[in-house]
Amino acid sequence: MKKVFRNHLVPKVSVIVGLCSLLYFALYPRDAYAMHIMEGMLPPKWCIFWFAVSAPFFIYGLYRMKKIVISTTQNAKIMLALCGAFVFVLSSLKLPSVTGSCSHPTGVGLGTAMFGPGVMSVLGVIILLFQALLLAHGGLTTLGANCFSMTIVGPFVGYATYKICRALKLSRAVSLFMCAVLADWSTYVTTSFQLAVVFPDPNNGVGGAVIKFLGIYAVTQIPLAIAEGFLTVIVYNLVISNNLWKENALG
Amino acid sequence: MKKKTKQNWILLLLVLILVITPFFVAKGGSFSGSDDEGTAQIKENDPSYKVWIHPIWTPPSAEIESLLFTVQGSLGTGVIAYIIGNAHGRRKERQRQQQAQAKNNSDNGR
Repeated sequence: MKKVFRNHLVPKVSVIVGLCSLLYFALYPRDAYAMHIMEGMLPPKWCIFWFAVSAPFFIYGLYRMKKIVISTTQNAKIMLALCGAFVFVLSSLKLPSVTGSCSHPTGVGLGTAMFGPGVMSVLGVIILLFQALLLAHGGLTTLGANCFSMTIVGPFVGYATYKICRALKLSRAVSLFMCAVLADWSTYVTTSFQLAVVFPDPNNGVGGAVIKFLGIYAVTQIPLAIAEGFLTVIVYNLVISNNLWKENALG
Repeated sequence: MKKKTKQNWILLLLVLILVITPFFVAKGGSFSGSDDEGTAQIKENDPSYKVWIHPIWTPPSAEIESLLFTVQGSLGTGVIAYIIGNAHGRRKERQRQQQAQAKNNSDNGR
């Protein structure tokens, strides 16, 4: 806990506020370890806004998923299950980072590279719901905002990364690695922006708040994103070497 | 195939290194959740903000929470292990059959 205070060279007032919030956490552990943005941390109008933004992507995801399920591609359904399971595993791993705090990977890179960005918005919602309902991790009201960062921005950034890497003639493994790393990282960058817009810094406005939130979320996430990239390639290698998926199907 | 297996072991080692280094780099770190720090930052930026809704159900203790996290992780791992294990077994069986057939053919040819 000491380190947190040392890092934040803040005036006395905010130290008191910090102490109060620590006390708050000590008294109400229910709010501990929430994923991304937790229940009640966004004002209602922002909750509605993010739900509205995420909804079309979710519907597109359902449409894409239906297409995959009825497609004749070999093992398509099995691989869909595997990609969902991969997100399940990775988002349950709270890993330590060099900043001295913990966070968890998202795991959306694998599914994104295999099925495109749409599908993850459906698989991601299942995981976010599981965590919101059973673990008090994230929240139902902030579901829209969390979906937007983890299941929409992440996969779309990852997909673009994958396509660019492949266009640059990088190998599939390297492209997949980059895809997973950037999908993970951009999720937390998005979270930082989402929070900064709602809670601007009292002195430096939205810009100052973005930097502070990036310092908390995005910096912590860098080594975790790299670890996620490695894990994604490991699973992909296992999939390929056991003939579950044709290597050239990945584009 | 052999090349991929070797690559996987190296990657796994790298993941382990990435996960273990923080304990040496950030000595004395609290290793609390970054989400908690984010929430503390919100309180700092806007002390007047009131959390207007609470989760409908929360795990009653840290033990139950870790139980549910483990359930989540092991469910996923189970699915992945089944799919890959099943495919591995099928591949081995196909190889065995092919070998047996090749042996049969060469026996008959004699």
